[in-house]
Amino acid sequence: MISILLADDHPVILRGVRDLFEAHENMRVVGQESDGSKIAAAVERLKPAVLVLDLMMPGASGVEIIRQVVRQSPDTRIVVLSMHSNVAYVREALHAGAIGYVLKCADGEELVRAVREAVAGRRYLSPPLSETDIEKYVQQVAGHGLDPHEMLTNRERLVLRLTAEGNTSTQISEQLHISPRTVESHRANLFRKLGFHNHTDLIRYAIQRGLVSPQ
Amino acid sequence: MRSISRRTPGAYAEGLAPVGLAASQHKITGDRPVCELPVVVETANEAHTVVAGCAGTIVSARWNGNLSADFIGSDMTPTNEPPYVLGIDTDVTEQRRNDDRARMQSRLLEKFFESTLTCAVLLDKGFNFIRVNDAYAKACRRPASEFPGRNHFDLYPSDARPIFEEVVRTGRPYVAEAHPFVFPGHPEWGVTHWDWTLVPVLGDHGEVDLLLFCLNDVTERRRAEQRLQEAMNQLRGLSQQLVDIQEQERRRIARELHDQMGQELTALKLLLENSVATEKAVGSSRLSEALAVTNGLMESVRRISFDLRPAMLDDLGLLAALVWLIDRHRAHTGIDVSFRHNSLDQRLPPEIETAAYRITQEALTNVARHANVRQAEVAVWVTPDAVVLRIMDQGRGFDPGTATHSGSGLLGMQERVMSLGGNLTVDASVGGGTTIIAEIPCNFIDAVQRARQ
Repeated sequence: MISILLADDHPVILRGVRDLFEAHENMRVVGQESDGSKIAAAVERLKPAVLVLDLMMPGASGVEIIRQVVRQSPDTRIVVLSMHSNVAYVREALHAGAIGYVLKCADGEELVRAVREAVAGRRYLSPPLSETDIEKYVQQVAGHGLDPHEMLTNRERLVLRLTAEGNTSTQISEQLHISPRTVESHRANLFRKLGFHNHTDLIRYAIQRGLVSPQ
Repeated sequence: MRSISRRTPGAYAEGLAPVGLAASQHKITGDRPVCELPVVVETANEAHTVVAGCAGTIVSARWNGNLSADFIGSDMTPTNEPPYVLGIDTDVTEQRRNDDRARMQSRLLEKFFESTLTCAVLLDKGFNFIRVNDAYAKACRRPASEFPGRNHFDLYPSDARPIFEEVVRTGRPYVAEAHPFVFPGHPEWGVTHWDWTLVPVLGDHGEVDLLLFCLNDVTERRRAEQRLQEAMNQLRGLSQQLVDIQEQERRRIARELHDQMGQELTALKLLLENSVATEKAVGSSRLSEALAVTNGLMESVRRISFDLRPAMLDDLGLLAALVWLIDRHRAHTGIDVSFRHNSLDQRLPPEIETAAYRITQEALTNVARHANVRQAEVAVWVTPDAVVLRIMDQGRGFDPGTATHSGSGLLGMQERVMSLGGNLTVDASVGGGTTIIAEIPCNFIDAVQRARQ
């Protein structure tokens, strides 16, 4: 017998899901909870084999609830039942410790299958979700070593080089046909973007990047 | 200037006399000799001696356009000798011209001083009035004659006194822009603003002798500027409010659609599914159809909701929302958008997440509409002080000087960035692609501290 705790804030869905599970002989719904902040406690008390959790609960973030349950009741498996088919949600939920992810638009039998798989310790994802998509997403969101120099606009790059070459704001403004005040504003922007605190930082950067020669 | 040279009589007679001093001989009809001539002199002193010895007097000064000559003549006693005159010529042409020029200049200056609309004041170095022009007198609403001899700072006490003292001490002029001043005894005139210059007039030895104080009343301009600034701030506030309201409204409708309608549709779907399972009879194929319609409806609701505002922007943050946006854009347009970021795997203040999302969305829409390219690039940097977005393509580009930007949403992007204190730069050229860089300042140390409190 698989004991199940339902967590969803929508009464019709709660009823529908309950009906679904109760149509299966070896499944039993041991409780239901519609307040997000009470779920972890309910799991601790009822010790269900599986928690079927709506990711969007009032009172607490779904991902936070997953973390909490995993921490407090590691024996309970978590199957997420979600409106969100977006892989970002799936990844967040799995990352937090859920084992199954079923879409609310999926066929009801999928949820039953996901619960069985969860009890067996296997991951279940509703089609069209797939491990490959999640892998792809994880790669997409990975940070890259982006070159900070690319943050600069053409003008900021010019002002950076001319400043490093020893020109004053007035000289730069004459060369670029813009006002000294505009030069100052370009300089302030590039200082902020590149995290410079003083002129020495700028010179060091310009030399390191080969924008000017060290003499 | 006088110089010594020997004059050739012939040259002098032809009116081409060399400039200088010479003892020379001239025949002057009806005149008498002065002394024994010709006398040749070598130095000015010598010439004077000769002249003095002849007891001559200056009989004429002639101006011929180039040469002014002082003729020293005799008492013109008749004699049998042919009459001669000793001439000492001094070229005063340059001096004359200078004198004329100086007179002209002083007349001009006088005219200028009196007729200019700039208030002009001449002060001594103790800041006492020497004279003021009409414009100044009028601005102060006193007759110009009341000023001379009185002290400027007695009449008009002001915080500018240290500046005046500094100018006297250093001899360097000072320029003030829109300096505020309240006329003593006239609070009803309000705070007036003046552009002014204080220029030291130096004496022969380079010390400050006088001060020329020129002022322009910029009160009206200043007030107009302030009104303009206020109007602009109001407009900006209004447009920011509009953007906020729109965003709130979208968020609300998106949520309602997704959560409320979505849930109800899900419930309906579950009901239908359970019915299909239990009925098994005639109604089941109809129920299956209803189920299919419901599924389609769920998908539509989800799509509309996400188009309005993707829920993950609030639930998961900018990174997840951008990845979704770019995937969706790729699916819709076929444009391959590469996405890279630095340190974006953290939550940012919600207004920055929204602005960054909308700017990227707008810029990608532009790429699809105008750039005519198959590839584009989105990059996001999170630095300790700012969030920087760059959306770049190598497409058709445009001329930023002529583009009206209407419909391209650039103005809207600009508004969003500026209302957060950042700046948006569009580097574009015809045929050279378009790069949009938006920088939004964000003090993360502050944000972290706020969160802790």
